[in-house]
Amino acid sequence: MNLAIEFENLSKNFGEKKAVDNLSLQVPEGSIFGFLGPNGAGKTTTVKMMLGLLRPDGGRGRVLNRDIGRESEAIRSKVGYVAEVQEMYRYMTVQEIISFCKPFYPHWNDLLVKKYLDFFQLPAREKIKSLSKGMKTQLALILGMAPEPELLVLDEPTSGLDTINRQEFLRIILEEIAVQGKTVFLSSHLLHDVERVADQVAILNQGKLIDIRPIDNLKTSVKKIRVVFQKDVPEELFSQPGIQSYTREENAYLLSVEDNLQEILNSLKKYPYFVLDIINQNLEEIFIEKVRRDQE
Amino acid sequence: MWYYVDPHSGIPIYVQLKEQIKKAVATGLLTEGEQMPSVRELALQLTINPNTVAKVYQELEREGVIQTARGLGSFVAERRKDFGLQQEGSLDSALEKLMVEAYQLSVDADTLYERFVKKLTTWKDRLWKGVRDNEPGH
Repeated sequence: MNLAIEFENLSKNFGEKKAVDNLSLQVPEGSIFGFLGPNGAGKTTTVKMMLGLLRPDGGRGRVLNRDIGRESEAIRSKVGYVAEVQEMYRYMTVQEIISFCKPFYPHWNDLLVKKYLDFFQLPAREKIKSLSKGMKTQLALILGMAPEPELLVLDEPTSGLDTINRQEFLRIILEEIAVQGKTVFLSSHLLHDVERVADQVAILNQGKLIDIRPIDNLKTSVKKIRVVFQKDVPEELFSQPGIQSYTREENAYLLSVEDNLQEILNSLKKYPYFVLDIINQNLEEIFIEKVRRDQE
Repeated sequence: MWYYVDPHSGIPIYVQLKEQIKKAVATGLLTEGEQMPSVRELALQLTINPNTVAKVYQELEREGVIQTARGLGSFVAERRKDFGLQQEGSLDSALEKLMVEAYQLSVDADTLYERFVKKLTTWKDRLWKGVRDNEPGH
C-alpha cells in the first residue's frame, strides 16, 4: 500500500502546552482521510507541520514521499491546501489572487478555474473583502484544486457554508480529486461531512491520537448492548476484552463495546435474558464517547 | 433504480448500499443483464466515497450478484445455477438467524411456520422462476 502521508512521533509544543504529542499516523494513497477532534485538539498545528509552515519539535513526517522538514517546498507545490478562509489577501480581487497563486505551482488548470468560477458565479473583479464567507470558501477550494494536486488538504473547509452548499462542495471534491484516485485529508470538527465521504478516520484529542481506523470498521465494532437478565449474573462477565465500560441498574446493563462483538454476545446469551439489543452508533455518538472517555 | 443511503446511520454506508442492491435484484427491481451505474456515477449521485462504492461492487461480484466486464462496466449477473455446498451453508445460516430472531421475539413454531408460508406465497413467483430456469431445456 502506498502512503500519501506518514507521521512518526510528530510533536509540537507551544511553551508548556503540548499542541501535538507523539502523533503517528499513515494515510493511504487514494483515501479520504477524516481528521477529527474538538477545537484546540491540535488539528491545524498538524496540518501546518505537514506543509512545512511550522517546524516540529520532535518526530518525522513524510508527505508524498518527501520529508516535511527538508523538502517542504516540493511538498507545497504538489499539495492543494484549503485553509480557513480568513487567511486570504483581502485587498486583492478574485482574478488577482488567482494570478498571484498560479506561479507557485508547476501545474495550473485554467479550465478548471474557469469552470468553477462560473459554477459558483464568483465575480472576478470583486475584491475578496467584499465576498460573502461562503464565496470565500468556494474561492479557496478553486485555488486548492487548480494545481491538480496529488493531495488536497482541507482544514475546517466547510464551516462557512450552509447545508446545501456543503454537500455541493463535497461532491466537487469527490469529482475532481477522489474519483481521480488522489488523496484527500479532511480536517474538521463537522462530523456530518466527514461521515459522508471519509473512508478512514482519526480522532485527535489534546494533541494525542485516540483512535484511527477505517470508518466501516469503527461503525461495525463500536456498539452499545442493552441487556436485561432474568437473574443475577457474575460481574466477571463484563470484564472480558472489548467491553470498555458498563452501567448497571438492577439486572439491566448497558455495555459500551469496542471490539469482539460476536464473542461478547455469545457469552451474554449463556444466561437467560429478557432483552438483548444491539444499538448502532453513528460517528457523532462514537466521537463524543471516545473524547469524553479520553478526558476522564 | 433509485439508490439511497443514510451516511449518518450507525450502519456502514457500504452495508446499506450492498443490502439495497441485493434486495433490488431479488425483488426484480434490477433485472438480469441490466447495467449498473459506474462507481464514479454512483459515488457522485450519492455524494459518498468512490472507494465505498468500489468495495460494494467487489463484494457483490464475489457473491455472484453482479459481473464486471473490463471496459464495459458492471451488470446484474445471471442467477447462479450451482446450488452447492457453499450455497447450502449460506442458506442454513440465514435460516438459523431467522430461528434465533424468532426465539428472541418469543414466536412459537406454529406462528413462525404460518408466517413463513405466507411470506413464501408473496415470493413464489420470484422463487419459482429460479426453479424453472434451472430445468434443462430452458
